[in-house]
Amino acid sequence: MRLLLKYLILVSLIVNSVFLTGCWDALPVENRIFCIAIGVDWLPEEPHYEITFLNPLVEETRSEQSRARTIRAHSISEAIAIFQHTSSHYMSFGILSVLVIGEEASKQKQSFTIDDLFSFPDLRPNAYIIVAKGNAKALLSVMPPENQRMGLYLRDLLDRANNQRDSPPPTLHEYVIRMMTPGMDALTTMVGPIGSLDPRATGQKTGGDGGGEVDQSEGGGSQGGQSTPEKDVEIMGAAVWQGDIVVGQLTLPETQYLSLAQGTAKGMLLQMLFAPDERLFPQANRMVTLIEQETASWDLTVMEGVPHYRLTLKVRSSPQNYEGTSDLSKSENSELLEQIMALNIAQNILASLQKITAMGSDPLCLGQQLRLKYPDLWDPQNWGENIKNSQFKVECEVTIRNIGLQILRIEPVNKKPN
Amino acid sequence: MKAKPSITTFQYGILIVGALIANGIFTLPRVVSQDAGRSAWVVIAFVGLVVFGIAALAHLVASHYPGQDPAEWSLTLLGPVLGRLWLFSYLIKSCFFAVLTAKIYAAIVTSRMLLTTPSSVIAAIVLIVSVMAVLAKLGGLARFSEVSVYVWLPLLTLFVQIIEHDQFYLLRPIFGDASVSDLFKASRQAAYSFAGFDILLFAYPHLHKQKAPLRTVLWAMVFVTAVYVLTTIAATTFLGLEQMTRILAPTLTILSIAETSIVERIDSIALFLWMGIVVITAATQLYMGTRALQGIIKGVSYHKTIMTLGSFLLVITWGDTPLREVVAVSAIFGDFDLSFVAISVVVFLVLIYIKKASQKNAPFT
Repeated sequence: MRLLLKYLILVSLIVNSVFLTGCWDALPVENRIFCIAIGVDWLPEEPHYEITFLNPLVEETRSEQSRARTIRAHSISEAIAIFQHTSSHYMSFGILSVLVIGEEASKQKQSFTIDDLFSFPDLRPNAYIIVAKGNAKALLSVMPPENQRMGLYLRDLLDRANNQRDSPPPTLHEYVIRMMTPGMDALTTMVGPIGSLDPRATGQKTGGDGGGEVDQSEGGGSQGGQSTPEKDVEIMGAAVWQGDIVVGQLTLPETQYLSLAQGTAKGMLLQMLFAPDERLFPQANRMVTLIEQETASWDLTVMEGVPHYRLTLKVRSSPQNYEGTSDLSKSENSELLEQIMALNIAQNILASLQKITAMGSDPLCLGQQLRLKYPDLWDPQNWGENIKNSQFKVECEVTIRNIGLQILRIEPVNKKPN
Repeated sequence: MKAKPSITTFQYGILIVGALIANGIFTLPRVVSQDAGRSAWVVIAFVGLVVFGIAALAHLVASHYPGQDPAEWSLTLLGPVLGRLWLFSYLIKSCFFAVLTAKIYAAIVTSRMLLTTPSSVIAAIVLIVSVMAVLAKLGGLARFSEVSVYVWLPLLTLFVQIIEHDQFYLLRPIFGDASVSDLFKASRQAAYSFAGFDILLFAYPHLHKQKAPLRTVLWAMVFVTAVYVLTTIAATTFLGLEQMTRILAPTLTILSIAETSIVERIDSIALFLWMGIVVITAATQLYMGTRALQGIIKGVSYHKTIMTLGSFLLVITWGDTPLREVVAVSAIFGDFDLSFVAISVVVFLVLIYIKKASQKNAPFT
């Protein structure tokens, strides 16, 4: 009985000790502001940073789902401090969905921004990081369809892109690994606002020299005065990083071909553009094909100090919308299409590889291959320069599993057009 | 004091696990990788093997005195003066260890979650609960250890998410990144995470089966080493060497990345659940310190000794120390602790055999 009493005291002590911490760290929810998206823009004049915070609105009388507030500051931590000071609220990053880096800001070193953010213990490391076409503030000011919250709308868009392998967007922690580790770089999705002609006035007030705040509800413009609020956003390609700086951009098809080279394109719908060919593509030379399976094997040899990479790719695909006139059920025609597709994929992958290596970036972790196979030749500090000299050879083999047709062709038979 | 049989062979093993595992799981991957690079997990496996050797010797020493613990047989083997001096050193070591364990946990909690709570408060909670656990005697401590390990064990399955990342090339080459001297330095850094297994010396006399098999010590050490090795492999492949060596507690960072539909921040829950294991580690040290003090001063009450020692530790734990400093001190202390226990065990083993030999050669009286 006495032993049982001791156990009871022990258990109650442990349980109660958890609640004791509330004496210091209790923070009522009404004193918190949750941040669902952060935008980072860079301006040429001091203070350089223009940070946009997107917070969900919870009031019953709200007219928008979220509010974007912009603060000029010397760093993101200063902007957060100004925000917390002026609003008397503690900013929480526990449900952060996306970090948006503006196009200009992405050309500056981002490690300071990331470092500042990671100093907040409640930061959600699974938040996506993307680069905005234009500036981040404009992207976060887009009013999405059906009055949704922009941060969540962006997250859904990126989730879909991730699932469909269109442009796999890295999360913050994946980005940090690639940013810090030599021999690998990040490739982040580039998103831009699209579409509306409806002009709307904005309510902006500019801050002082030492930092200031611009408060605007969602739907506000980007550069003051009259603006054109956008209605939607779209993935425009990918930003190519070298360490913590963006060194170039890729189009969406180029990003897709890089995904093929990485071996991560399973389930991707690839849009292919073919050279005119009388046999298969007499009129339409555009085709969408589903990548059902692929294996990408890389081989590396170093000759006279120059890395030679050889990629052997085996792809099993199913064309979705072949619009040519050839009967693909005949083996000679389908084999010809396989050859043309293989050549097309190999050429496009090679072009994408040459484009990114010319920028000095290594999103395919080619440097890691060199480090493992030729450790004596591995120079992590100069890899950004050395990768530019790398040579590539791409060999591709395509197998068509399904041409997507149940019958050969559906068209009017023995009918004269009116 | 004649020890009462109160723990099973399995509890004996789980007590060793509980006494060891709190010290290394959060910070070990970083402290070892800083010197050993990608070979960190190999170094940890090697240190685990060495410590198992020392633990096996300690088990052998304990098995020679099945009804007594070191508070008693140390005086028999070393004599009243040297024996008390050794017990005093043991007492200091145990107190220091208990304080370090509480302070490291408190510093991690207050730097990650409870930012405005003084770390002394968390350390005090750990110590008070540890005193309560020791008051339940070794049987209660062993049961508490079982529960704490069972509660935390499922969280280790979260490390399977590293398979998704498929970044095992970050572990290669296994050797070649660090020199032999660096590997040796790293193994000394790992020592702290394996300190505390000497609880088996004190637990042995309380076993129901007086002849506990050595394989109990083996599975306990293999379990702890496997957890450490897997944690280090997970941290290296998940975070990369460059990032991992800049994060104070890489294991918690990995847990913070794991998200489920029910619980978004698993690291917060893991950190609080971990308190049970931390209490076991601190309590085992407190128990050993209490028994050492009882050995020095014969006839003092068990309960009063615990309360006095607990109060003393509570006072010296007070004050905030940055996590980096506590971890740096623990690395030095771990080196000392392992050396102290290893040398003591070897000396005791030699003395036991000398004593046995002299008894064999002694004429019948």
